[in-house]
Amino acid sequence: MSLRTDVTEGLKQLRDGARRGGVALDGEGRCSVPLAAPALGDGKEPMVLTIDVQVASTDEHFTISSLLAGVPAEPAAPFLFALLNRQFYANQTDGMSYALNAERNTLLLVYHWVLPRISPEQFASLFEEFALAVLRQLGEIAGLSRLDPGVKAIPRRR
Amino acid sequence: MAKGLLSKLSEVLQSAYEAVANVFSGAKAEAVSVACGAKEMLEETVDAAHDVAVEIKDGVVSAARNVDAARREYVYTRQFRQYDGKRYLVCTCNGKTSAEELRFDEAAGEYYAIGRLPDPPFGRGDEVPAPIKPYHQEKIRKPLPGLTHLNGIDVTPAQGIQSARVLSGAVRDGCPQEDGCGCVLYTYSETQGSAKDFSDCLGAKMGLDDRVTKIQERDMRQAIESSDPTRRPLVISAHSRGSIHTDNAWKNVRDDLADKYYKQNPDKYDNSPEAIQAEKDAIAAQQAANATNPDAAVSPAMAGRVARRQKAKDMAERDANKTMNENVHVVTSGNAIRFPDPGQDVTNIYVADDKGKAKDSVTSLTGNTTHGQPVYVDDGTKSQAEKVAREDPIGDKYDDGNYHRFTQWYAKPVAAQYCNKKPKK
Repeated sequence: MSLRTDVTEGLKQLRDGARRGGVALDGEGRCSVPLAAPALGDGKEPMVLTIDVQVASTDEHFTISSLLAGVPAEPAAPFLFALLNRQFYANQTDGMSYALNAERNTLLLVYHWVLPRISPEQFASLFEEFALAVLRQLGEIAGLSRLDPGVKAIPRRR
Repeated sequence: MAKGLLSKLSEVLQSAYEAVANVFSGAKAEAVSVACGAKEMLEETVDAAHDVAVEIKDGVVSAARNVDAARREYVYTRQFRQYDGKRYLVCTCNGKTSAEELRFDEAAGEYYAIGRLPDPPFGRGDEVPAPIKPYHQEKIRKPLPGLTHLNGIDVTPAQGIQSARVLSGAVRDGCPQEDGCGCVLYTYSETQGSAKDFSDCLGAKMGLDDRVTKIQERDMRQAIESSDPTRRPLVISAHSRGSIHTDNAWKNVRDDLADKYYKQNPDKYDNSPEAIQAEKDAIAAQQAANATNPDAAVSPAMAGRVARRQKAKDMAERDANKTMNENVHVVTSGNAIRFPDPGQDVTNIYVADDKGKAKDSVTSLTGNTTHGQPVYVDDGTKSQAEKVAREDPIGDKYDDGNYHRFTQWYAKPVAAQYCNKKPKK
């Protein structure tokens, strides 16, 4: 058994009894999971989030991540300060962490799993909590983007 | 015949000898070549290892020096550490200011005055206040004033108490309802040297022993737990970096309150029409996504659950924000927080030009000028009379060029915010 196997079983658990559908990790241990969510802010149409799962090549960790916003190539110091400062308190980030993808100039919400095993039920619970955190943090980041024009809240996707 | 054979044999043997000799010669050359190569590789490896060892040694020496420098800087810049989080009750009554040092009794949940500072100027011009004169018996201080103050950047304990003194005087002068006395509950937040303080506005600094944030949280919790409807909301004055501590405290208390509200009455939020609608919308959207997307991995039930929980949490947070804003009013001056909590009805006071653009050096660089209610302080450039009026009450030089000094620019407008605050109901 390996962590990759556990994640594969966990992904099946997300279907929650559904007979069809489901994604599997690709050869590099990655997959993207679409999740419908209510509209944010003044929006009326529900949106579909994409939550990415990546098992590390060492099979020792896996990461759940989701896009929060586009950011400038060199984000303003007060913006980075705000993120790091919020991350000091678990409540303010719903227990997750912020990360910058410097290659794509994007801000993501991430959670790194570091234990050697995870049960399918734990994975499904973790995924659900992460999805909830993404929705809440999208609201937070939308607030930041109103104060910093360099921060671009993500476009909605159906 | 025999001679011929002998000669032939001799040639064969000669050839064989030469062949064997050639083989040995080649092998020897090869062996020599390999050995030479090995020797060179060995020499290169030894050289490289030596270089690496030298680099490591240099690195260790450099790191040791850096650690030593950092240690020395740490010791030097935390010279006011023992004052961090100290609280003083500063009152100006009938033209005279007094200051007491307070101690919080965790068990009783009350503040006690443990001693009194000598008469003003409390050690002005020094870095630390004069030693207190301890009371023989500690005196409970209740009720406490409805105005607290937290200092900001590059402020020594003595300077901070001076700021509270000026603020209390402004309250006495500006609040007729205060019966001739203006009182401020002041908290000292330690300075670590001006350069580092300033960088703290730009980079995360707080460690786990962030006493000042905890004190701000305690004040806010006591304010929202107060059952006296005639009391005015607690006004929290936060200057400069103090706005960061205060915003963190506000978020922490609000999050705890939202969590409390939710746990006390989950039905109110989980079964609210908004939460139920959010669940229905998400289920429908996920069903649509699953029908068209073969990769769809999540059940509609899960999508609905997440959406409903999110809406319920948001509604509990909205209620918590309302309670917070009814009981706590944060007034920043020269704020250093670019992204304040959006749920907070904060008042931001800062020196601005006639177009409302911040001239306060900290606010313009790291602070916020768009959220909440801005109050502009005239920079005093319009008239000499205004300039004179802006003379620092404690007699310091008029203008340090930063438009940031609390006593010079902000004490009066902060006091006005407090004085204008109406009772909760």
